[in-house]
Amino acid sequence: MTEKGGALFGYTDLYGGYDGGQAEYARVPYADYGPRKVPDNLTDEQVLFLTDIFPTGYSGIDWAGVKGGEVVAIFGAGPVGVMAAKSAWLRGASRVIIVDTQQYRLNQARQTANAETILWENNKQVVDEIRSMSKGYGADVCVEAVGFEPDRGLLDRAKSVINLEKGSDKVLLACMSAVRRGGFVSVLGVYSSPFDNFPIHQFFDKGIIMQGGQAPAHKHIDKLLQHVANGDVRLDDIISHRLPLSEAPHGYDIFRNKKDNCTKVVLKP
Amino acid sequence: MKALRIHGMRDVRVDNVDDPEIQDSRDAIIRVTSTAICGSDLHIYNGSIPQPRPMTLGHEFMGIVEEVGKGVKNLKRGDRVVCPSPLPAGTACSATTTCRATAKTLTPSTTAPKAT
Repeated sequence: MTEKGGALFGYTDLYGGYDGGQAEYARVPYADYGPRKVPDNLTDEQVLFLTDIFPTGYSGIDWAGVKGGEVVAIFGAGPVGVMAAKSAWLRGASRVIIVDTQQYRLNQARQTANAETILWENNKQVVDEIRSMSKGYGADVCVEAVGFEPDRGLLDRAKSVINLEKGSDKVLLACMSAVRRGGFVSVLGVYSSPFDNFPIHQFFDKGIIMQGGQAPAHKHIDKLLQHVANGDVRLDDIISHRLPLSEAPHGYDIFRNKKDNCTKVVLKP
Repeated sequence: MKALRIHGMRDVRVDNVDDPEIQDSRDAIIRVTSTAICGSDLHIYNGSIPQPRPMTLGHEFMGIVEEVGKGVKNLKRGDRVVCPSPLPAGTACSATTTCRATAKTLTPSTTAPKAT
């Protein structure tokens, strides 16, 4: 039991085996503790992302103790990366940079997160660009918002076969290289298996501080709801597709395969 | 009711399943009005975090309270709520030092029991 974290809705038998909410009805255990009432003047789409991706993105910034003036580099222009960017602005970052392999997602991130963008070509190019944008030091904070299944080339895939590894830690490694000495790396992307050759020497030499894991949504949700209600931040601008629940399998296909410029799918039961 | 369930690698289907029921005094039943697909759902969809039996996915959802268990005093039928994705047990959790340190998200107490 101590090997596992707390449960999540709809996240396999490993995480409690509770059915999730992509359905007409959902059973909500511990309902005296989790659900939050929302004001009638806010639409579903304005508050839906308080469930996960906004508190998750915010946690990456909060763990790093961002309090104003920091250069924040976010790897991954998906929904969590964009939410981390919005959170970085809320906490007073001076510069917010988003990195991704997909130009359409960077274009969206520029619109929805007011971020500077870098198109990923390779680790060195990205690290060089981030250093040049931070007086040569590297970013104060790097946020890993991709996880163990990034877009990958053939060489990278071959390497994990040789190393008997599942997925890739290449985005985490880029974060560790792009962060300044003594900087903070927040790991929001999911990692579910070990990686050998982890650069522990770099962690030690640079004095990097790292934190990751399932984000404490309950810790932040009330103040984040207040930010939404105040109009300090807008969350619904990341939605690219709205589908009835009956078309959910299509939603999974376009989201996974990045078809039709898909960034975020909302389902209506 | 209709629910989106995972059946295998890249195989999700909208199935007809039984409506959920209150199983514990701390449960509520929500009529879902909006729900989203999360990037982390794709790890399950890809088979990278496998799920051996069909299961309804989705940890981003909100809706209207239909029914509450006897122990739920803070909600009533008709309330409109968002449901945070993690399921910590809250005040009933016994792993107190972990709870204090991590705002309850990493507490193991809800993972093992009561799988349904």
